[in-house]
Amino acid sequence: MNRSDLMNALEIKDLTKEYKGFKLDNLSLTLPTGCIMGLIGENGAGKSTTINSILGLKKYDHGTIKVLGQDMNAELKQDIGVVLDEVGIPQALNIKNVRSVMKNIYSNWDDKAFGDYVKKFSLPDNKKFSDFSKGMKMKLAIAIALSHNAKLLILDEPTSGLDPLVRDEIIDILNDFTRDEGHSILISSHIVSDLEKLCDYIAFLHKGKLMLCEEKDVLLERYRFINATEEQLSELDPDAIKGKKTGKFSTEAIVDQELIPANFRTAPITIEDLFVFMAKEEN
Amino acid sequence: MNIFIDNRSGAPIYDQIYNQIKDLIISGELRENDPLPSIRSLAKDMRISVVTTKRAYDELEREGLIYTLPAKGCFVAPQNTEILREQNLKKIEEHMVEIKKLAASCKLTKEDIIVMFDILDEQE
Amino acid sequence: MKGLLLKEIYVMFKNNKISLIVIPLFSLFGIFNKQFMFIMLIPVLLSMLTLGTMTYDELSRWNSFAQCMPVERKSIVSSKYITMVLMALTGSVIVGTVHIIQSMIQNTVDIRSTALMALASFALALVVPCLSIPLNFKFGTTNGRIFYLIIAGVICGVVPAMVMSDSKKFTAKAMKLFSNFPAFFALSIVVIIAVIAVSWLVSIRIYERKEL
Repeated sequence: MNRSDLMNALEIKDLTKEYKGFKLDNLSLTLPTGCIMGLIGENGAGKSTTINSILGLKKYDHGTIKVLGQDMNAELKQDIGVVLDEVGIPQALNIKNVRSVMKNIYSNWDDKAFGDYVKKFSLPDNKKFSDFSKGMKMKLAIAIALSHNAKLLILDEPTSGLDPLVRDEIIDILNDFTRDEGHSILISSHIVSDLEKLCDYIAFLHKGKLMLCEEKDVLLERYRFINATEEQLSELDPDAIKGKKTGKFSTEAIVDQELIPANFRTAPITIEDLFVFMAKEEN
Repeated sequence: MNIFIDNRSGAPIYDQIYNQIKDLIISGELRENDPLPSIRSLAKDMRISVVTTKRAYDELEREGLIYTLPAKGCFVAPQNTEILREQNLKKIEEHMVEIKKLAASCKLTKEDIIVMFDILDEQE
Repeated sequence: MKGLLLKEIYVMFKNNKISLIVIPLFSLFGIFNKQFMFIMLIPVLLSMLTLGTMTYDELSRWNSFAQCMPVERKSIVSSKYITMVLMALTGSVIVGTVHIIQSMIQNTVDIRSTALMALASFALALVVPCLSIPLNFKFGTTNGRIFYLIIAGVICGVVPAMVMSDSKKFTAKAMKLFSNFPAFFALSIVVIIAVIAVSWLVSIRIYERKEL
């Protein structure tokens, strides 16, 4: 049996970090090996704080984080591909330079794969990095993250600034990355539709708290839209209602299908709907 | 093997996969010991969650429709003929109900139907 | 480390393409110029390039990016020092070479004098970086520069005053030291290495604790 079957790619327990005006509050998450987890939350919800804590960019106050079964250390990053929303490649370097630097930093650098991605993303060989558009910068960062045989990808808003065609291409690439059962991905984004296509698990972060963490398909099966009057809603089990929007003529609500009578007419939700409704309810 | 997922319908995705594979097995399109795509490659090819395809396969295995060989994959299990027979009997019954309805609208008697059946039988 | 050093070199020279022209020109000019002193600037310029990369690093947000790679913070610090020392060494070799050529032209070849010039230029080139690099790591490059100027100002104010106040004793001591050349040379090298080492270790300590 493969060792990677036995351990989780990521285990976060009671992660807490507080600073002025914000507190990441006792966050616990587990990413099983071979799976893709999406972190959804508004700006300032704590997604980047979580990711920075995992990577050791920021110290945290309390909690434990195990990555690929170990505490974070420099050597472990050989197996981790990272894309943050700011790509810190030196401005004056071009792709050839970047390639020779990375080749000498990563012991499992796959030069052919990198070359293929550069070609696939149509990245210019001789342009300085400072002349790259935001989209090109992200594509280069993604190319690097995918070119050193990483087992875990940690991506913080990797598709922001990219047009829908490119985003779709990248989602496909990330999907292919996990064809190998030893490969896992943690990806945060506020473009929920991208995550909905890709992820096995979805975690909602709102104001520093974890609102839920569940299998994506379970969420889509279990929570449904209903349209009803306020009276009808008041007759339902209050735990069933995850959020509602009161309109002029009726109220739209997202409910837990298991907790309402079977004869109710329901409509499917999207993950984005669920997040928005739940976040509004929290506020 | 062709499987279609309808995102808009109310049916859970694992359920849709389970049913479609089950139908393929019962209809005979997937035969005994035919290999199934791996849980992971099915998920990735269809752009759905691995957790979901695993659940569908687990259900199929629980129902005795497929079996797993470690390190080799999943295969169609030899089918219990009783189940198939039951299914087919049910289908025949349903068809018979249809025939009765149509016969009534054409004012045919039971004897007329039996004569028609005999003629078809002879032609084979 | 190789990757980090490559990055240092790329950043230094791609941002300072001018220096690749100026330095050889200066050197050539220096051979034929009576005024030797300005050649001593070359090692200083070269080692200062390393300081310059710290500013570029901040602009590019390199430090967070590097933190995501399999490199330890002490390696990042070390790559700066290694590069800086290599640049200063290169500069002092150029100084030594120019001095020898000049001496040959003027028929006043004196190995000791050349060695002294080379060593002095090496030491000179180390002064600013050894003080600035830790300050930059601690306070960032913009504030680091301010602190550096304050400290440099203090040193430039205090040391000459100390020397002036007791100049006779000081010159007597200095003469005694200079008279024994090999000892003086060896001692200087030890002092130089010690200064680099202290600066290096302090920087590592600072950077390992820093919250990015």
